[in-house]
Parts: sequence; C-alpha cells; structure tokens
Amino acid sequence: MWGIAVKNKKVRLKRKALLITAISLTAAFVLSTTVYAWFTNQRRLETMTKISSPSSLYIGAGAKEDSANIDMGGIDVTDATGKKDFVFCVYSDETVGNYKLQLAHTTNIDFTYTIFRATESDTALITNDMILYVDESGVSHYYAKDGTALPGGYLNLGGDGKTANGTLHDKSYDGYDLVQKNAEPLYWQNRDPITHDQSMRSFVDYYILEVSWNSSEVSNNKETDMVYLTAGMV
Amino acid sequence: MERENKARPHIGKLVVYLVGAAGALVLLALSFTTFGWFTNSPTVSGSMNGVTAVDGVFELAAVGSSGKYDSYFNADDGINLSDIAEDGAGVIDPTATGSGKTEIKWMMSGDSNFGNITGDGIQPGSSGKLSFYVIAKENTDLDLTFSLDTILYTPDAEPLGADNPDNSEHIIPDTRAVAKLVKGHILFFKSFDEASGVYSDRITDAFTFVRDNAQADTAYKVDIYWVWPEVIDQLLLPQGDDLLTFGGLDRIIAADDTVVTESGFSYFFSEEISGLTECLNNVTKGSADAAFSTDNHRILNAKWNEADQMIGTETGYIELILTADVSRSGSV
Repeated sequence: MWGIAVKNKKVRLKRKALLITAISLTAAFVLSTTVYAWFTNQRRLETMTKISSPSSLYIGAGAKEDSANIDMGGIDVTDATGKKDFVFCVYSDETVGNYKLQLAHTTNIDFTYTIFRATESDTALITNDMILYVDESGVSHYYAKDGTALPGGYLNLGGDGKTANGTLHDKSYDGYDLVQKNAEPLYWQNRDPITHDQSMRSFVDYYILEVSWNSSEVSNNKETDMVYLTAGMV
Repeated sequence: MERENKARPHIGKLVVYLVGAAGALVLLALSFTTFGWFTNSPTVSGSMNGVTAVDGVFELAAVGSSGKYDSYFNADDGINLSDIAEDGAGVIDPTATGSGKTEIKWMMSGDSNFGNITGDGIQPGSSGKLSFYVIAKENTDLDLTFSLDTILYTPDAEPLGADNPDNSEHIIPDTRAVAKLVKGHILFFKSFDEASGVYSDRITDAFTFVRDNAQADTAYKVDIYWVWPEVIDQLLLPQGDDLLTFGGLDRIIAADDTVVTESGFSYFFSEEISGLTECLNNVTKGSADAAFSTDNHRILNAKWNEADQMIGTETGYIELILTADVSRSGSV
C-alpha cells in the first residue's frame, strides 16, 4: 500500500510538471509572437545629420592676437597729428555670412571715433602713413587704411552733435535716471552688413579705429572714457 | 503490481490531453497574432483560411537622393515602388517600406534638407522641411500616430563598416543635460506659414495623420518642419519689437508654441536661472512694456547662447526617427 501511494504522488507531480511546462510554453509563444507582430506592424523613417558648433565671431588685436592687446590707454592729445590709430580685427574660423560692427563710448573727452577697413601690408611696401602693430613675439606688422571711413551712424546722437540724447537711456540704465550726461553712451553702428561668401571657412578682417581730436578742445587732464567694440552676425 | 501497471496508461492519456490542449492554445494564439501581423487591420474579416501574407494597410515612402550621413546608422534602404499616384495627381518614384522592410533611410531632396545635403551640418539659425509619403495599401480610413524620436551621438561617431560595426557606444543618453537642451533648441512643427515665417503646431513627441477614404496605392504627402532658432528673442519677443528689429530678426514661433518649461526639454544652460518663470513672463511682454527688464533679457539670451555652445561642443550627430503605428483604420 505504501508503495502505491508513493507511485500516485509521483504521477501527480509529473502531471503538475507537464501542465506547468505546457502553460509556460504557450504563454511564451503568445508573448513573443505578439511583441514581434507589434514591431512588424510599425513603419519607420530615419535620417541623420551633423551638428555643427555655433559660428563664433571674435574681435582681436592686430595679427589676429587677443583683444587684450588693443591698448587704447595713454593717448597724448599734444600729439601734433591730432589723431591716434588702433588696429583691431574681426575674425572667425567658421563660416559666417554677414556681420555688423558696433561702437559704444562715453563722451567725457571730445574725441571723434572713425573706423576704416584695413589691409596688412607687405613689409617691402611700408610707408609712413601705415599703422604699426608689434605682436607678442616682437614681430612688426603694418596696416594701411583701405579707402574711406566705414559708413555708419550714431543711433542716439543728441542735437549738440557730441553727447547722447535720451532715446536709448533705458537700454543702458533701465529706469535709473541719475546719470551724468557724458556717462550716457553713444551707440554707433555701421550701415551695411559686412558680407562674406558662405563658402569661406574662415576669415580675418582688419580695421583701424582712428581716435582724433581738436587740440584746442582737449587736454591731458586724466579724463577717461569707456569704449566698446562689438561685432554681431546679422 | 496490478495497480502500478494500470497507472501507466492513465499517465499517457494525461500527456496526450495536455499536449493537445497546449497545441490548441498555440494554434489559437497563432491565429490571432498572425491576423495582426499579416493584415495590420483590426477590422479585416474572413476565416483563418482566408488570411494571406500582405503588408500593412499603409507604407511609408521618401523621395530624393541619399543623405550624406546615411552610412552612420543602420536603416534599411527599402525598395523602389513605381507608378504610385501622388494624392491622385502626379506620379512619384519613392523608396518605401513594405515587403518585409519596415525601416528605411529618409531620402533627402533639395527642399527637404535636414542640413546634410551640403555637408555643413546644422547650427543655430538652420531650418528645413522633411517630406515623406504615407501610401495607403487598400481603400481605407487611415488614422496613424507618428512618434518622433531623436538619438544623439558624440562627435566620435564614424561611418559604419568593418572597422566600426556600430556607433552605439557613442550614443548620448537621454538623461544627459545636453540631450534635453537639444529637445528645447531643435524644434519640430507640423505647420509653417511662408508668408509670415512663423512655425506653429509644435511636435514634442508625436503627431497624428488622418486621411478618411484613402485610396489604395495612393501616396499622401506629409511635411514636417524644423528650426533651430538663432536667438531666444525669436521665441519670446512680440513681432516688431525694437530688439528684434535692431538685429534684423523676426519672431518665428507662434504664440501658442512659445517656450515653456516642460519636463524633458531644456532651453537654458544649467537651468539655474533664479525665478525663471517670472523672468520669461517679463521678457515675453516685450521691450516696450514698462516692466521689461534688460537684466532678464540679457540673462535669458546668455543662457540660451551658452546652451547652443554646449550642444555644438558635446554632440556630433543627430538621428531623427519617425515611427508610424496604426491608431485606427477601417475598410471603406
């Protein structure tokens, strides 16, 4: 009797095992085919492209050096020429279509600011009116003004022709009104965008900022002005 | 001993019953799944004997030349179908899914340029249109859901080949900050008004295509648009705002689709802008508003530009995947 009971228990175990196996196989099959069917019902389009870094436009000194080398300190207004020239450049190592130059300055000193396009000259063709820039390695570079001044105009020049009117005051100082009139910056922008062919992968455009004065109206009295140069893609 | 001998035939019967039951279940499951698999139509009728191996009720197709970066990813080239009527009008010669091909490369054409025809890639200020066709395979009402996904790769990804069997190790996870920034900067839309230059009906993850009474073997064109705004002013400031005019720019995103703080999308580098919502609300009113803050404007622009720089530095390639599923279809 004991032997028969053991056999019946084995039979029940086999039945359970078979049942579990059959159900598991069925469930696995149903699941896999359903998932496969779901995927094959889908239709898909794919494409890919390259992401480029945003084009960066830089302002530099002569010889495409860091803008920290544009040193406008120490203008001596007793200089008989009545002007001093500073070389700067706008450059990019990427494709840039168009850009505009902007100049902002305060008006404590009665200076006139004029921007010219410039070209770097071959050392064999140096003339006295060229602007010298000595780079960080001590190498001399000579730049010549290229034609007439860059066309442009002030956006907020007052009626006196020297200081700013109030039209852009809020852009400079928000609602703050206690501003001395010569601390109100003048904003200048060149008229026509400077263009480059889209196929150009890099470029350097040289400029000369001419600071001029009437010696009868200025003196070396430690007065200071803030001057900002910006170049923006348009 | 007698009882033991009688038990053996009993077990045999059980095995037969169980295997039979399992087989029946398998057949039942097979019949249901193959219905969906072969016909792709929940309303198709007929007995199991009538089921034939056909493609779905729709296929996708694209036209044009191959993209410059096709060799970077593993999509099928598809098959050519000819003499497909385009929405009842002209005839297109597309590369399409179907006959076992469920995935195709999106062929590029001059005016559906993700930027890769020229090889210059895309950058802030880039925009384009992607066109494709939905081909009905039978007379039916089509209601499809398209999900739009992007996969980003680092600049180290290279064309696939014997030396580089896959680019999976160069995939940038969705959880990375730069991935969220891409979703907030490269924007997809269903509509673009050429007259005003304004994009609308933004696609964030999916959109639907509905065509009642679609005709068999007819291709229905679908356009989607993408733009990577150059500056955030183009999303926020009112059209004609002085700050836009000054830069020679226009607002390009419809008011209803303007930048919002959605999860999974980032717009600003680091997102550590104090009082971001108030900042956005303030700038959105425009520079003519008395409360407009130039500080807010400057911060948003700076953080948007820094985000662009991060995208350009950390990502190399973007793969766009459009997956179509039937959301509803019915025989006509």
